[in-house]
Amino acid sequence: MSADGSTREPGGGGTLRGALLILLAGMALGAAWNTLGLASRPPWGIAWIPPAPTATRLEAFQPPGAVAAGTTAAHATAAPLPVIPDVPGPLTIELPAFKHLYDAGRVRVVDARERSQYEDGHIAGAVSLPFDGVLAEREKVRQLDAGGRAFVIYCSGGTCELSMDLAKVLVDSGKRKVLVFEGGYPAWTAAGYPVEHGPGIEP
Amino acid sequence: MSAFARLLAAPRTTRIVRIALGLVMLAAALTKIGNPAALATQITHYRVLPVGPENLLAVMLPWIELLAGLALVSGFRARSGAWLALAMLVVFTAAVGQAMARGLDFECGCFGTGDATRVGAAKLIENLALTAAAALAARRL
Repeated sequence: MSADGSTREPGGGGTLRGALLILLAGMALGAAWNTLGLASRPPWGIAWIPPAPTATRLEAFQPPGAVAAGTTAAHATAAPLPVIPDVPGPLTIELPAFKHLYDAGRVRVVDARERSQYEDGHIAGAVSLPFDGVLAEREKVRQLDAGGRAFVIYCSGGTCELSMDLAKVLVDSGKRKVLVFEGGYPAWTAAGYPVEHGPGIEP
Repeated sequence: MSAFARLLAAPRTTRIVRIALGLVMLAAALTKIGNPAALATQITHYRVLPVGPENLLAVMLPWIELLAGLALVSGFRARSGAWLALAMLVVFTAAVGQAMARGLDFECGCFGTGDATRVGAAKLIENLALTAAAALAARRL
């Protein structure tokens, strides 16, 4: 708003050109930086296009009729336990198969939600490993030990993606037999299965 | 003109807002620039983009923020930087708003993974305030 004739900034055209310049320079720098990252050994750049999702269902690996049998506790003890294949990616698991393995003590249950949500209530025996903390602190993942069992990771169900995100981090860190219970805490409590409250167990 | 309106209209106000906004943009850029993988994951949490372009965006966005922030702080091409910041903030605010409207609950990823602010009303207000600041900063000196 200077009316004293001092030098003014360029008008709309010059400003737009400058903005495009910044935009293109930023894109070029980012691309160059990531190219450098991909060429380094070990690479720290990320793939230009993310790989297709690898998650599939645990149930798809079961012999016919094996999973349906586990719907009630009485049947669960009699039916054979679900087979957990040693595949590279995380697999999803439905409530009946999860409960079956849970009752048999074959799974290490991991809560991927916020610490405060975990303390408000979690699947009995689950350890807390919030995904948001894991991104900043990968060491926690290395320390996590299933003791020969499979991991089952859950969060709040519905639109919650923390469990699948955490599962991918675990798989990337070399963990095997990583399962994701997509129904999450709401599906578990709706079925009336055991829960715990309070600080619980550190992984 | 009221004293407040005069203060808002003063060229000095525009300069100060540009530097402050630039510092925020620099902070946003520097906390994200070293971890594009985490940013790509956070972009998918907004569920706006189809699967595919999130990695490209995660690679490039922090650098655009960095250059826009540098322009605002240094004063070189500052108005261009302000317009870019305004455009980005409008998109970010819309992204946060749609996530809230759909009931999604996740870390916003605005300042990397360290600050752990979640998408919600506080983040929306923060973004609206930054958008207003960017509109102020985009005025011609």
